Amino acid sequence: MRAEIQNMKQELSTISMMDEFARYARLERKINKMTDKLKTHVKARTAQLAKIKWVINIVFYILQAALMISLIWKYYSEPVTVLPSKWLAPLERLVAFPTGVAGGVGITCWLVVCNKVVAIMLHPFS
Amino acid sequence: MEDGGGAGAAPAPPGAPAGLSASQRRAELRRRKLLMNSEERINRIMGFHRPAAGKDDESHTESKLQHEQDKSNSLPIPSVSKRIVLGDSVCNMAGTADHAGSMVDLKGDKDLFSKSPELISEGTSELRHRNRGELPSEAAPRPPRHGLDQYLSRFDEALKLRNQLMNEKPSQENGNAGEEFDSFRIFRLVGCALLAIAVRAFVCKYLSIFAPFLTLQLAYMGLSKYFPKCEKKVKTTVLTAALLLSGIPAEVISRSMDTYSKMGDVFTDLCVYFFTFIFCHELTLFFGSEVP
Repeated sequence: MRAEIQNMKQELSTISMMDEFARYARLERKINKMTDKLKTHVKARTAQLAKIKWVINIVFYILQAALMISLIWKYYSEPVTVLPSKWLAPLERLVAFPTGVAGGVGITCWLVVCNKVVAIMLHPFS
Repeated sequence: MEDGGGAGAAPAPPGAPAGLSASQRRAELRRRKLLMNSEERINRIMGFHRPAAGKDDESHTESKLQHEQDKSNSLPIPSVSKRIVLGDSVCNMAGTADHAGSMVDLKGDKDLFSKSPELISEGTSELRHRNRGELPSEAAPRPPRHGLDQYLSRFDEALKLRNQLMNEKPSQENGNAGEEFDSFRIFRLVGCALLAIAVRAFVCKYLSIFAPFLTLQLAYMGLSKYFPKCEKKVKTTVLTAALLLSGIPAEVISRSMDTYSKMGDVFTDLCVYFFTFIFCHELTLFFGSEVP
């Protein structure tokens, strides 16, 4: 459609407005009509793309949430790693949640930390 | 010109012509009273209390405004355009002084509020040339529009003030604020990662790993003065808009947002620190034979 408009514009430039006004006006109207059509198409396509992007984002978030919940569900009692509890004082209980192991790093805390770190790493690319 | 505004409870407006019939005068007084009530309510909502000598002040501002009005001679301009003009003037005033933000707000509100009696007086002057039957149709929509205008002008004013405050900071210090902020942020993150490695290597045998982190944060707070302050893009969320509309000064909101973002930064640092620490710890366990 763009090429067509371009061609028509070229044709329009070859027509003398004074000598062939009727033809000139007809062609111009045609170009205008085609341009409007193109704009409508572009708008529709942009809207569709935005919609697809939105859906993908939503699906991604849902998957991420499901993965996290399943991980927490599966490993809620197993610490990711165990450190001497005095190293983590005074937050050892918070860090160990929900394992309850003294000095352990719980899956919840670890997921939060990993999320943040990955977000920072991906920040330059987004 | 008549006095307008303020004299809602007076038996007859001082500047009112004697030619008005008693019923017209009563209608006019009622209208004024209604408008003043709405104005006071908005004042209360916005948190501006008028002093006891408010009436004198009011009459002063009114006379000033009327003088301006005489100058401009543009009374029939719709109230919205007036709002914009006022907002601009308020912002210009705000641009001159940083700390006078609240005062400027007050002034702006004063101006805005005292503008309404002018409109009222305008209404009353029009009233003279009007039949009584036309009065309700003209007078009825005024108070809600007036309130809405004030809300909108307040919102505009707050947004402009905030933008100005945010724009002034980088212009005072440096032009390339965005890049500098990135460098400071990278500096922070790298510092946290290095500290985590150092702590894992040397310190953590003796004390909690969070103690050096807190020390580092204190150091960053001190160091942040020497880094050019950056302009963070203010996200106008629904919450921000709601707070602005409910009359909380823009400065307070921007400060609380600033505190919130600082807390977010500290949390990010903590995450990086903890992640690096655990990563180093696991590496040490994997490659070395050190058992904690």
